[in-house]
Amino acid sequence: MIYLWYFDRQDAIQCSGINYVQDLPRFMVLLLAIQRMPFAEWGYNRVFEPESESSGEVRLPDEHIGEVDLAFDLKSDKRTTHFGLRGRATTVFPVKSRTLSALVPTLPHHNPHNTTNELVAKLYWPEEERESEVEILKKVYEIAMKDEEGKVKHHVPEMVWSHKFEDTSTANIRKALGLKDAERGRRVLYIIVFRKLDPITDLSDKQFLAAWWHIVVCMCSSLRLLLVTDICDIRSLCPLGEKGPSPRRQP
Amino acid sequence: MVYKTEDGRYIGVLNDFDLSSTQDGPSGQERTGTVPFMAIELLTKEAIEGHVKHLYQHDAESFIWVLTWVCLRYGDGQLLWKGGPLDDWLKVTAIQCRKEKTDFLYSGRDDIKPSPSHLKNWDVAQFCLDTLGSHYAVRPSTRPLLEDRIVFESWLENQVHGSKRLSQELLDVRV
Repeated sequence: MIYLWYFDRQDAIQCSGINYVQDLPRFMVLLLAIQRMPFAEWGYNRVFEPESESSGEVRLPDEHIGEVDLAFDLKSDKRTTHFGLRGRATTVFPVKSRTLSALVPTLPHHNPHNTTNELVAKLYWPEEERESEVEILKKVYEIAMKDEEGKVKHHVPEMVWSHKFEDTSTANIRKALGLKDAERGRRVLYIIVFRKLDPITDLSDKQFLAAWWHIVVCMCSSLRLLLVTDICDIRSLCPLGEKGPSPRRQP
Repeated sequence: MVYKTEDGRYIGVLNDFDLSSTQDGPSGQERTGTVPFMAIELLTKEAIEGHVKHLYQHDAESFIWVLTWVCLRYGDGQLLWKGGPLDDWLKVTAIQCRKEKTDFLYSGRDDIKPSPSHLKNWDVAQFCLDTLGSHYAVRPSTRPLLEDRIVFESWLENQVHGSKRLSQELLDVRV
């Protein structure tokens, strides 16, 4: 018997078994189909992994600012990667972009106190039904705008640009297969470009405590009225260096 | 996360809003915390199944665990060593981690050595953990429902201010 498994960031789909002795024609069709599958059908994203030699630069259309150029630094030691099949699989690495660098000083939530010129890209597969980070950040910026005590303003990340890869939803294949609850728990690929921040764990002594205090106060401010957070995560304070096992929340 | 200003000050930034949600949004199917930093109360079977309401006090507790974690595991901005005291917290299940953390809270933390880079910060962490310890000392059903402001003041603000570690200038969060 042969059982086919299809894996994506949501979970695995298994087909019923094929007895390749009794059902040889079906098995042959399967083999020939697999033999003819182009890159995209194997799950490669053509934007990032073109079939021809990649120039290392990706160009994405944007309805507001035209075309966005992105050159990822995939070899950076600052890159953080999540290994594993399921889940958000957040990856963060430095990115260079002429379009987006020019955009930074024009952003309404621009923070001139951060002196960095660098950008980072966060690529990940959040659940589509959850409120997106982009939407949450927009609400956060509204709060920061009104903040006169300085508890929130300048203590939130600066999102420069974001893009949702609409055609990557894990619901697509589940709908095509006619699975029950095909939309439930679906994930979709997102990219968000931020201005670069450093991990708080780089700091020692009073510098660390003061920065930690900024974040404690930020969290206990008007922001708290907006968020039902699960800021239970050192990643809220530093990049994705350390991770623990996840208890699975049952549906 | 942090950034450095032109005058050399480090400013703390609350990051990763993909782990949060605003009040009315659907919560989705996935967990959004990291076990070692999650409040002890959230590392129970009921909480993992989504039957415990997430409160500010759980976030406040997470901040204390993060402070603890960094004091014990980071020196000169580097992760100190593999196999250190809290290493297991990353490897075990949520329920087991609750047991480890409870044991740490009531006995393990007394004679543990912080990293030299965080020697004095560890005193602050210990005082914060003391307040946490007294909160958890009574059985769950009799634990008081605390106002957010009270939690912030008694668990965090009083400990940080009382320690006199940070000057008025460093306590000022304005940039």
